[in-house]
Amino acid sequence: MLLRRLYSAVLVLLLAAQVVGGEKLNLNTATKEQLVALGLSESQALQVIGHREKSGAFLQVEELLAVQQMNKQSFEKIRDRVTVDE
Amino acid sequence: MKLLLTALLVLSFVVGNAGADERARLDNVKTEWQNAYGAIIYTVLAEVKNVSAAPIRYVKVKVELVDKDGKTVAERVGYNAGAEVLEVVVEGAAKDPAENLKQVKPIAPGATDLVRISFDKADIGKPFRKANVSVVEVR
Repeated sequence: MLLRRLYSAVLVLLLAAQVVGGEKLNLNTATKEQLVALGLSESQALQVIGHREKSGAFLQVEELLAVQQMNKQSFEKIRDRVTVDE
Repeated sequence: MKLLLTALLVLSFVVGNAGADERARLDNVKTEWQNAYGAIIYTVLAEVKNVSAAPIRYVKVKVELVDKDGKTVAERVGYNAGAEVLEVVVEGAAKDPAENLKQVKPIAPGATDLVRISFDKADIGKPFRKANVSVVEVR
């Protein structure tokens, strides 16, 4: 159990380091864990993935604002750290 | 040489804009993504101002969605709100264009009207960086 928690914490730290390191996260391939590491709540991350599955790939970073549960504050927090470019 | 290049650049800008109609000006251009009960819509909103001394019947505006390489991925043309009847898709629009023109509310000198042009996400298809908005016709 402890090992599992430790593993999750390390994973989140690694993902966060990747984001802080300047590499932008692609909204069209991001996992729930990566989105959470970026600063979204778990339910927001799930909504982002649900939006992608239902409406197709994100065409612009700003499309995040059309995702349910996404508010301007959360969007501003991550907008410079995500991309939709392949 | 540098001066010549600058002069050419300035000249090309002036010539490039000479064709644009100066009777109407676009202000406060905003874009937004909306989720309308599951339909994902991208909308461009702007104010169009009549900067001439005479009334304007309508202003036709073009929106081009441009990708990171400068390529147009989608484009659409629309009218100011008072002339939306000129759009084919408007319900109640007459078949005769002249008849539709009678229903248009002109923009008085110095007055503004709204422009709203929307895209269904499915009609865009590809990622894009920005929306270029321009006046293509003033009457």
